[in-house]
Amino acid sequence: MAETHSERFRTPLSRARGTGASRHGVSHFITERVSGLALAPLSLWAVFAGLKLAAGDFEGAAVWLASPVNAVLLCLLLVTALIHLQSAVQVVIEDYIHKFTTKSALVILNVFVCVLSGALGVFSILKVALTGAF
Amino acid sequence: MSVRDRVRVHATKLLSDNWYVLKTTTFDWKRRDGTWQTQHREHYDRGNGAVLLPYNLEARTVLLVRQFRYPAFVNGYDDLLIEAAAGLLDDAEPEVRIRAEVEEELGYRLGAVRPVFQAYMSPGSVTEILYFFVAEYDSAMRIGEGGGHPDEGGHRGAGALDRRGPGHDRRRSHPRRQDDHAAAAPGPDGVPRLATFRPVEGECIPVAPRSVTRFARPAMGLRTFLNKDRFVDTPVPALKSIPQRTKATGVGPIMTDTSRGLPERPMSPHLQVWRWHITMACSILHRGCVIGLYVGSVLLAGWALALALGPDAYAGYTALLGSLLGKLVMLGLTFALFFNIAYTIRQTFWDAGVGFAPRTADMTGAAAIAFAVVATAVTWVIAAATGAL
Repeated sequence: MAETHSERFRTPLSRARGTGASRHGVSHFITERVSGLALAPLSLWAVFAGLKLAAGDFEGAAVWLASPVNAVLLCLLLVTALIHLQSAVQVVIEDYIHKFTTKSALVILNVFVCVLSGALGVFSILKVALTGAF
Repeated sequence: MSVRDRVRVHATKLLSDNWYVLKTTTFDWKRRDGTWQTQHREHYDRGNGAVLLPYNLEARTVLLVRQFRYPAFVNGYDDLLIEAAAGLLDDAEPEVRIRAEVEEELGYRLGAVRPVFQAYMSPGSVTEILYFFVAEYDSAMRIGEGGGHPDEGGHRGAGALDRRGPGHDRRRSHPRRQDDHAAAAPGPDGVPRLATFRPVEGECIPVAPRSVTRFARPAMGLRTFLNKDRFVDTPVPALKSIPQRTKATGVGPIMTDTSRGLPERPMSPHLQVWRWHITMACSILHRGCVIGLYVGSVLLAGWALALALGPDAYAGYTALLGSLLGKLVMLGLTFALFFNIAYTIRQTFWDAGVGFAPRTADMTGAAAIAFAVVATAVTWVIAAATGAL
């Protein structure tokens, strides 16, 4: 019986882990699904908040963000969205970019963009919420 | 019937020109309803071939050869393949070519050969026509050892024929042949039983089929023979239904334990390959929305940063978002947001194994798009009404 190519080079440990060529199993998938679920209500809240904020000015926004509920929900929205989109965009990159160096560079850049946006965003929200906008 | 006017070839690209020629072609095919559908097909041109089954009515035998075939091996067939003598035409006449091939492989110079039929062997991707012949043979036609052309093994790439003569001429000199022929002793009805016929490697194989009528279906006979233990008694209704390598039936030449290896990894939804239909469009739209929302999330972080930087930065940032371009981006983001909410809900049902039926999937896909359009419109009407624009 001819063994398949991939089978021949698999170790028993690799087979037991069952994580395949991606080496991380289903965690990526679960991350996307759960964060996606969390984003459904958060997005609806974001539309509601966006309508309110767009109608107001700087002062209105600062007062709005001083509310603990708004500050926390906005942080959760931003962080959850970035976790979700970082995973999602990584899949898009991996699907359509086949050149190893380009693909790796884009996947890393994706992480950097998301972490930087998250850090700047959360810090700014906390600053306004805790110390006021001025 | 000609279909020439239903095909418009756009572009043919050469993918490989090694031993044989592999090309890919983009063409339009006019469907029955008159619409033109763009298709992409790879086609492998290895020329045409011919195959011949020599039979002897008196001895009730046919001649076959065993060859190592790498493509069959790599697809799980861990044995020498049992075949009729065959070869590619190389632009020669099928009959001329197959005579030469039989001389090379089997060592017989035949008398009259009879064409039986011809067939496209793998019309999905291979251009080849195979011309099928049968011919009567007897020992007087024997001119050599057979076993193939000296450089056949490397030259054609596929065949590595063991260079020994036809088995039935050497049966006395070969110890294993005795056992083999014991198995071929006549059964109760006087027909030689070949159920456990196991020829040795590399020899031409005299095989007795049940009746001469089988010669009208040589391909079926050959394919059936691959299932060695059931040669005579296995009916093969069509070439497509050769016993497959399934564990369920427990028959077939190959027993593949599919749980052991990794399966081929699935392909991504490439726009140029997939036909546009609603579920595919939803999938692609979802990906587009994901990219849009990615930008949107960065914009959100930028909004918080501008707020933290003070009134001037905030005024500048909101002015940018309030510009025509900014409004267009926000409009797109509103749609993307609503579409992704709907898509996530749809996908959650899929994760639970619900809603995969094509009609349901089409319906929920259309509903997701409709929801996003309506919700976006409502949101922007509210925005206009509340002075958010």
